[in-house]
Amino acid sequence: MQTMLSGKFADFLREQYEAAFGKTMGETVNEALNPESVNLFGLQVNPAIYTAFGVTAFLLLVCVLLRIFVIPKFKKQPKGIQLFLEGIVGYFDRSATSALHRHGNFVGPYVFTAAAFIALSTLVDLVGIRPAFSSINTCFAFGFTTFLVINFSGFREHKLHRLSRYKNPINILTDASVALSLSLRLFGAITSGFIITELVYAFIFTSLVLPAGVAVITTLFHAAIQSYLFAALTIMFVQEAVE
Amino acid sequence: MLTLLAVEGISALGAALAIGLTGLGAALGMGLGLGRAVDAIGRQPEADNKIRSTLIFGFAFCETVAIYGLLISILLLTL
Amino acid sequence: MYTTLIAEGMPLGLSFIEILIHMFNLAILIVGIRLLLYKPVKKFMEKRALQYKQAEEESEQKKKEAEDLKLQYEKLVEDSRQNAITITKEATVSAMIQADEILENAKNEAERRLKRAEEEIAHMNALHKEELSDAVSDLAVDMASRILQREVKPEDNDDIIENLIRKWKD
Repeated sequence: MQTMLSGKFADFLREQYEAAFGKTMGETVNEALNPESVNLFGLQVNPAIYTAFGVTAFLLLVCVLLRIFVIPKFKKQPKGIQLFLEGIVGYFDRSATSALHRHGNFVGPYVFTAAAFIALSTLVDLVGIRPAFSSINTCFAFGFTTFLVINFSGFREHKLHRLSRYKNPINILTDASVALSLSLRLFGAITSGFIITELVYAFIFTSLVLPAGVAVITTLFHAAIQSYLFAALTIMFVQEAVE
Repeated sequence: MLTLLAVEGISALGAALAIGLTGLGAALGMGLGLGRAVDAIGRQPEADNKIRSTLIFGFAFCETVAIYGLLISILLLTL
Repeated sequence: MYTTLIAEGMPLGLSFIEILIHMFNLAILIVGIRLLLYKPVKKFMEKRALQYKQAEEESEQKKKEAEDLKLQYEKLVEDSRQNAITITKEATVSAMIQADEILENAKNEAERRLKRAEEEIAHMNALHKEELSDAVSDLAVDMASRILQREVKPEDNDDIIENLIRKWKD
C-alpha cells in the first residue's frame, strides 16, 4: 500500500516536471549520450561523425587557403596570421623535437593535428553543434592512434628489442592503459562538458544568460586543456618508448 | 515496481558516492599540489613559469579522476 | 547490411567500424596538415633561421676583415711615421755632417790662405830686409869712402844724413 503510494507520488512528480520543463533531465542526458543513429552510406553511426568530417574538411580547406594565399607571402618579420602560424607550429615542433629528436619529425605533425582537431571539434559546441568527442568511438580512435604512434616510434628506435619489455606481463597492461586512459579522459571531459551544456540549454529559464558563463568552463576551458594535455601526454609517452 | 524503485534509489546512491568520493580525492590532490606549488614559487619566484605549467599538468590529471567519477555517475543515473 | 557489424549491446554505441572510420579521417587530416601547413611553415622558418645565421656570419666575417684592414692601415701609418722620423733624422744627420764638412773645408781653406798670405808676407819681409841690408851696406861703403877722403864735419854729417834721407825718400 505504502509502496504503491510512494510509486504513484514519484510518477506524479515526474509528470509535473515534464509538464513544467518539457523533457526530463534523464532524457536530455540520455539523448546526449546515445543520440539517434544517422545513416552514413548504409551504416548506422553516431551523428558525431559528421562533426568529425566537417572539422576535417574545414581544417583541410583552411590549410589549402593558407597554403595558396598566405604562405607564399611570408615575410621575414612575422605579423598577423604568419605570427600565429609560426607560433603554434614552432611550439609543437620545438616541444616534439627537443624531446624526441629524429622521431619529432613524425610525432610533431601528429600532435599538432590532434591538438587542432580536439580544440576545434570541441569549440563547435559553442555554436550548438555536437562535439566530435561526445562519441566514444572518436575518442578510442584517437587513443588507438596514439598507441600506434608510440609503438611505431618504439619499434623504429629499438627494433625488435622492444618486445623484450613484455617479458614482464604487467607492461602489456601499462601500454593498454595508456591508450585507454587517453581516450577515456577525452571522452569524459568533453562529454561531461557537453552534457552540462545540453542540460543548460534544455530548459528555457536556464538558457538565457547562464550559457555565457557555463560555456567558458565546459567548452573553452576543456578545449584548451584537453588539446594541450593530449599533445603533451603523447609526446611524453613516445619519449618514454624511445629512450 | 518495488525492485525498479530500489534499483533507481541504489543507483542514485551509487552516483552520489561516485561523484562525491572522486571529487573529494581530486580536490584533495589539487589542494596539496597547489600548496606545494605556492611554496615552490615562494622559494623560487624566478621558476614560476615552469612550476605553473607542471601544476596545470598535474591539475589535469587530478581533474581526469573527477571527470571519470562524473561520467560514471551520469551513466548510473541514465542507463 | 552493415548493421550486423555494430554490436547492439555495446555500451555508449561502441562500434569498431566507426573507430576505423575516425582513424582514417584522422590519418587523412594528419597527412593534409603535414603537407599543406606544417612542412611549409617549418621549412620557411628553418630557411629564415639559416639566412639570419648566414647574414650574421657574413657580417661577423666582414667586421673581422674590416678590423684586420684597420689594423693593417694603422700599422702602415705607424710605419710611415717611423719612416718619416728616420728620414728626417738621417737628413738632419747628413746635413750636419755636410755642414761640418763645409765648415771644415772652409776652415782649411782659410787656414791655407792665411798660411799663404803669411808666407807671402814673410817672403816680402825677407825681400825688404835684403834690400835694406843692401842699402845699408851701400851706405856704409859710401860713408867709409867719404870718411877716407876727408875729415868728417858735423855739417858734412848732417849733409850726408840729409842726403841719405832724401835718397831714401825717393
